[in-house]
Amino acid sequence: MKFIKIYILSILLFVSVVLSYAQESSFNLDRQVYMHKPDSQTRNISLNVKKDITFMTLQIASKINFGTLTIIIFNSKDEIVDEFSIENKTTRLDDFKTNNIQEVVTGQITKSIKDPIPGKWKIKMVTEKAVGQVQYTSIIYSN
Amino acid sequence: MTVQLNLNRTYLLLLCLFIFSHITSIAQNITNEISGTIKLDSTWNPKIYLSHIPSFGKMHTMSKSMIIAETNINENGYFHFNTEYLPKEDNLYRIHISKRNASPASLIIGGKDENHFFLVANKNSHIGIMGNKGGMNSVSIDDEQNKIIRRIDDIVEYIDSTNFNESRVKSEFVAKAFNEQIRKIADTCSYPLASLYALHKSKFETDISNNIVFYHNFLNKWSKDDSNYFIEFQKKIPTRKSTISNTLIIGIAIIISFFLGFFLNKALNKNIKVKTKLLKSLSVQERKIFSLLKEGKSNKEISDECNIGLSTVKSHVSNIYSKLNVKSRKEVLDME
Repeated sequence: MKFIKIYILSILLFVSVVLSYAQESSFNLDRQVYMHKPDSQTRNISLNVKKDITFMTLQIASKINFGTLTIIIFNSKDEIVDEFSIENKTTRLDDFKTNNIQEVVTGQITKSIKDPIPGKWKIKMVTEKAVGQVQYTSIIYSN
Repeated sequence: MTVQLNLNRTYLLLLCLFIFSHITSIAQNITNEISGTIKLDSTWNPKIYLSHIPSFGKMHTMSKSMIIAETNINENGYFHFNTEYLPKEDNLYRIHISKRNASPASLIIGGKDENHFFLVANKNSHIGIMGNKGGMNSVSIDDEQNKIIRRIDDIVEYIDSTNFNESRVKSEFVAKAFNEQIRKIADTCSYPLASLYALHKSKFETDISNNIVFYHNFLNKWSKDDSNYFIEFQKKIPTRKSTISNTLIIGIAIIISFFLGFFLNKALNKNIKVKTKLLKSLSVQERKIFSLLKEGKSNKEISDECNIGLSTVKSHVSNIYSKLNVKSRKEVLDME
């Protein structure tokens, strides 16, 4: 009898743990872009925000040794959510070639949104002769 | 006696020194500068940077070339920038700090580590900044124009916080209501650059099509301000359709039509009067023959109808031609 009680209690405990995990889950999406040579292009990074997503944090950290980098975050309605730009014009291209880099410029943005608009969000990354790196991190919580 | 004299001299010297130091401190107080205290934890570099923001589009741009001054933050959190080399016109500036071991040219947007704030200054500015424990987001600035800037930033921060804490629907309502409040600040603010700052923070791009008259009135209000900030803003506002000139064109067209009608009417009346006068010069018999000529009848038919001889008809017709100044039956037929 005691064994059955312990057994039932264990089952209930297990089910409640499973259910609590099933109610809310989160996942991270990390991506790095390295620009080892002067890079001039536009990249669009899509983020599919589903209806059950309750909370989303986007963090973009970047640093450049040379050139210009612009980051624009668009929501699924194609509206600009936030943006920033970093420029490093103090380092000359010759300095870069000879590995004589004096300065780096860094830019970081953190955007936390509750109940984000479902659909395709977009992070637009525009580089102009940029050398450096960008790291995207998105943490998404869903029901 | 000598001791007394020496003591008096010493007192006098001390008094002079006191007055001199007091005057110096007053002079220092009125020096044009941006100064204040900021409380930082050990993760931050004890240096603070002043950047010139040449246009509102560059507010979130970081570049080493934008940094125009840097100064140390002492152990009490005090710092100061001299403003005497700044332009005499109001310009937008950004003050930022950077993390230890990070580049001086670093920009952090959003989150608890946001590392910058904006202010308006000129060469005569004397601005006091008081930083609190909440970091760069919670600084207070003592001059009137920058108090408005801080108020706008506080509203924007509140809008952002609802994105973080509230449902999408409530966030949208809050954003709409508070952006409207920021536009009211822009409308009533007496400082042009702070007013423009408010509009930029209100996401005016999404509001232009609904509220174009407001933006035209805003530009009219500050039409004397030809700074780059206003030139840049003006380019984003669709030009006003020239309603005045259109009205003017319509008015001129009406006046021309009126006068044209008047003169045409007058000319036509004159013509009719002349014809009436000519017709009145005809005798009764000639008028009867004239009406038969108008019906296209021949001399023979007129002769039969009027019971007069053909030669008499010819004579009347000749008189009619001469009185009406016509040369043929066709001209008689064409007469109205």
